[in-house]
Amino acid sequence: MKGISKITCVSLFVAFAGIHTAANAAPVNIGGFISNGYIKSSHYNYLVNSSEGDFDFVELGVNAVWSPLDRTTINGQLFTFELGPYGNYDPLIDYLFVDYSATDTFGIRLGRVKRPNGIYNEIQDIDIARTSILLPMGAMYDPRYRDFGASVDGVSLYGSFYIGNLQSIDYNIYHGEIDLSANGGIAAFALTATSRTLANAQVTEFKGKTNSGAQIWWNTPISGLRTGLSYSYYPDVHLVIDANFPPAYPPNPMLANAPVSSDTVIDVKSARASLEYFIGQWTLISELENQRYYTHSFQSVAGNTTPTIYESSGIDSWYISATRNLPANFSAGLTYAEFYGSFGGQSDDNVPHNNDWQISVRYDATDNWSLKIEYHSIEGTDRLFNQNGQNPILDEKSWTLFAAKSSFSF
Amino acid sequence: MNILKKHLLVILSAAGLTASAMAGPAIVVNQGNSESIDSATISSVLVGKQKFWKGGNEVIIAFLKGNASAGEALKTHAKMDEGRFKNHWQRLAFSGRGRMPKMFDDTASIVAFVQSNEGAIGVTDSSSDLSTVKVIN
Repeated sequence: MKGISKITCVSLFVAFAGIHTAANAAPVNIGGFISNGYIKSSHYNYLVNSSEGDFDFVELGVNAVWSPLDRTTINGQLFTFELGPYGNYDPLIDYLFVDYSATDTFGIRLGRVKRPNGIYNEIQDIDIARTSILLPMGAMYDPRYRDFGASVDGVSLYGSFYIGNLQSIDYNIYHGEIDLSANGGIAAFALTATSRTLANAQVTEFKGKTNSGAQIWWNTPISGLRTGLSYSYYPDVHLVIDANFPPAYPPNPMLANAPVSSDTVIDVKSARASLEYFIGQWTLISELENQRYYTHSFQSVAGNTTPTIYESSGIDSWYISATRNLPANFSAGLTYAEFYGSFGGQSDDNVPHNNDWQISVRYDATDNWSLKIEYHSIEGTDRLFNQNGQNPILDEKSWTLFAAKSSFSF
Repeated sequence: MNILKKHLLVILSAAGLTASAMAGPAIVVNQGNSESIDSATISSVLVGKQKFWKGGNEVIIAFLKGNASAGEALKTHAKMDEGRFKNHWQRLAFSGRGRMPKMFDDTASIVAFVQSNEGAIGVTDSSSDLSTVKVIN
């Protein structure tokens, strides 16, 4: 289980120590969800062992909120998931914080707090809160990245204020420590290119220090329309990958089986623009993100160390989606998503690229139980990881994916 | 005698239908809630921007599901229909940003809930006896 930082422990201790009366306290509210899905793709293994069809797609969360003191709540959610090689049903404390809401315009959360970043980041695991099964394909909401992007151990300041003419501004600023996993999805992404060219590639060190960021939403005078900006910064993410040259290495036979190590320190910055419009039975959403990576790295090849290399690279992704509520508890959505990588040195033809047309249908069988199906038509292979050798050869540009999911909430 | 019974039943049914048809949106709070609650406050509470009453009690929303009058109240104050309201609160509640509203099937249960929870606010209709809670709309 992801450990609890000192700040989370201290926050909870102070909150519990301060509890002296619960006469008017609201009762503890407990909720939760469980979902199980199936993914089958025409080619490749995406998220799970999808080329053969796989049910290894489960999410389970239980949350509680309690208000033991005036203007104060304690909020927590225990979460576990299984997504092919990720998750493995390890229990995670998704969030656990003390929330003091001084006024509507100012509140503070201390502990493990969710990272606000666009429309879905705080609720990316919450299948019941959307029509689609998978969030738009790309770097924004990749379900494999949750150790990198779901929460921080620290503080967030938030509030909302009206600015007249039915407009309001919501803000959230956060800072905290992060706990990256060498077996997590972001490490898998980092390992993918290496694993296709070298042997025995593995992430031997993956550490991050902190993550800071902010999000601001403008709730416009047009009813149902809001637009927002978010920014996030991860300094000094340290990544070490060790591997060997293949046993047969024609470009330089002397290097066959030789050890190679890459030691990289990365600053990651991302900026995202979001728009969400509820109009009648329609929900229209679009987001655009730019991530920049500033790296300095050196390599050790067969014991010889190369000079430090400084590089800047980035990823752009965007999507647009339209969802409509239909009669008889149905809803349907259409999403188009694009992803571009820019890692320097490629010609336009070689720039990593993915685009995805996604059609989703949801049926709410009861107030608490929903069923979904989804079809994707995808061009590009850049979201296919290979840390376990699941996609060693990329020989088809176009592929399709079908998904189904059942979710229950309480 | 049977004819008399039938007439009586028809009259009683008609009276019930009339009362139901005349029921309008009702937003109610606990009798002990002495705050002055205007329309803007109701809106802030229903969309989760205001999570506590000025006295410090946590707001707990109770909603009469599948009811036209309660739905009308939502549209007026939160600018949402029932489906969007539920989705909006799922987003907040499952990320630790709010307490999921309690959903009820009948007004009497909402009245009982609001009566026993000082921070509660009920979105319902006026078809039942609301004398034990405070109507604020």
